Amino acid sequence: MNLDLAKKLVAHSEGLELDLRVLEQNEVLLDSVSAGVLNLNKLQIPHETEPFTITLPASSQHRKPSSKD
Amino acid sequence: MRKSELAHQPITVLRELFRDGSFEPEDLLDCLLENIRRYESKIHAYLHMVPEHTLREQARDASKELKNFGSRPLTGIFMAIKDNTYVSGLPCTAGSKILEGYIPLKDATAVSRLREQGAVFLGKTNLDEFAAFGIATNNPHFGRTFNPWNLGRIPGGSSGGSAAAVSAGEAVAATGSDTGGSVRIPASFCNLVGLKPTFGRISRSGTITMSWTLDHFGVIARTVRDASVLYEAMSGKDASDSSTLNSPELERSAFADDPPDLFGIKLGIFSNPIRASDDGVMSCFDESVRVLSEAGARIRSIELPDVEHITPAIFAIALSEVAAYHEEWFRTRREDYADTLRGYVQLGHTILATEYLKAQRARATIVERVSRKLAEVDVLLVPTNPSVAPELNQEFVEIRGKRYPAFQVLTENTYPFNLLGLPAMTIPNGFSNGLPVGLQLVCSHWKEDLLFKVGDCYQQLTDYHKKTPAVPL
Repeated sequence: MNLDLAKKLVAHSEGLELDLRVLEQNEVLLDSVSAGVLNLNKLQIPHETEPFTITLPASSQHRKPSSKD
Repeated sequence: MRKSELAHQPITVLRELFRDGSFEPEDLLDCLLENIRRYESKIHAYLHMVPEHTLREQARDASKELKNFGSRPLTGIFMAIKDNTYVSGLPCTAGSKILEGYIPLKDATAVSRLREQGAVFLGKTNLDEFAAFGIATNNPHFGRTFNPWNLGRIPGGSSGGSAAAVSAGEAVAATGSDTGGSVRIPASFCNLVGLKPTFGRISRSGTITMSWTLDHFGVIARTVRDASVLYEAMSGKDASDSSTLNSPELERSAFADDPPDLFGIKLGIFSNPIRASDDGVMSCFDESVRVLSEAGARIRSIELPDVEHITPAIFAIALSEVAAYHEEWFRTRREDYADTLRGYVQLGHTILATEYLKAQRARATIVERVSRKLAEVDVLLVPTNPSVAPELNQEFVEIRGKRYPAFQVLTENTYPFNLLGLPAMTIPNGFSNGLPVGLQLVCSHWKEDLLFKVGDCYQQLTDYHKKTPAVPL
C-alpha cells in the first residue's frame, strides 16, 4: 500500500487509531515494500502456485489442480 | 582442569567430566552462579532467575542421578531460556509490558523435551520487545543487554540475553527464537554457535509468536557438537505446531574423532548476497574458505536466483503477521507498547491482503527455485553479518565507504533463510578489531547433519570458538 492509500486507511481505522505521523515517517519503507511487492510480478509466479503456508511442502513440486478439486 | 573453568566448557566435555567423577553438577552450578554474581550487573543477560536454593536442589538431584542411575544426555546441564518461551512456573514477558506478570503453567514443547533429557534451567533471558524487529537487545521496558566482548557494543538481537549469558559463562547453552536472524546475529556477535534449523524441525509451541510463517526455534551453544546435541533433543513432530508435522525422520549426527576431512563435500560461496561485507569480515571469510579447501572440500561460487525479491516479500509477510498477532492488544493496550514496535504494528496494518498473499506465493516460488540451485552443493557459505557488532547507539553501519541503517545491514545475510525455511548455522570465525566474526553455513531443507559435519570439522581445525571474553569488572 502506498502512502496515499494508507492515509485513507487511517481515516477509517476506527479502534486501531493508526497514527498518520508514523506512516509518514516510514514513507520510504512503505513505498519500497509496496513497489517491491508489485515487482514480484517479474517472478512470473506459476498460476497454480499456492501461498507458502505454515507447513513447509514435503516436496518442491507444487500441486496442480485436479478433477477432484 | 580447574573448577573455575567449568562454566566455559561445552556440554560434550561436561558430560565426560560428570561421568568420570572429576566434577559434579553442583561444581558447575557454583561456577555459573559465581559468574552471574560477578558479571550480571555489567551485561544484564537475565530478566528472571530461578531462586538459588531451587537450583542447588536440582544440582544435587542431578549429581544423585549421575551416581545412582546412569544419566540422560543433558543431566546437570544448566541452560538459559529466552523470555519469550514458556518455562512452567517462571515469568514469560516476551520483553513486553503487555505480558508483565504472566506465569505459564506449562513448558514450551522444546523446553519440555530438554527437561526430559535432564537439562536444568537457570532463568529467562532478555530480548527486544516481543522479539520483533530488534537486533540490539535494547529492551524499552527492562533495559539493554551488553556484549561481554566489549561493553560498549550491542550483543545482537533479539536473543541477545541468551548469547550474552553463554558468552560470559553464566549458562552452558541457551535457547532463542529466530524470525530474521535473532539466534544467528547475537551468536555471531558473541563468538558462539547459533543454529536455526529447517522451518518445522523444532516446535514453536509455547513460544510467543512474532510471525507464524517465519519464526524458527533455535539454540545458542559453544560448539557445533553442543548445538547438535540440543537440536536432537528438541526436534520432532508436535501436534500443537503444525509446521512440524511434515518433518522427516531425524538424521542423527555421528562425529569422528579422527583427523577431520571434507573430501567429497561440495561447498558453495554465496556470490550474490543482498549486501557485501566489510574488509575485516571478508578477510576472516576468505581464510575460512582456505581452511575448508585444505580440508578437502571442493569449493565453487554459487549465485542464488531471485535474491532481489526476498526483502519486499519478507517485509510484507513479517509486517502483516505482526500486525495480525498484535491486533487485539493494539486496540486495548496500545500505550503499553514501546514506540518502535507500535510503529511496526501500524505499518503492518497498511499491507493489503492481496500483497501478503502475493508475497507468500512468491515465497513458494522462490523456495522452489533456490532449492533447485542449492542442490548443486552440500553447504553454502556466507558471512553471518556484513560487519562486527556496532556500538550501543550506533544507528548506521559503514561498509566500503557507504552508510546503511544498522537494522537493515545486519539482517540482510540472515533473513533470506527465514523466508526460505532453510537450515542455517553461524560458527565463530575469527576477530576483526577485537570483535567476533561469524561464518554462516546453509544447506538444503532437513539436511542439518551436513551443517554439523562441516561446522564440526572447521572447529577441529580452528580454535576461535575456544576464546572467551574478559568481561571488565
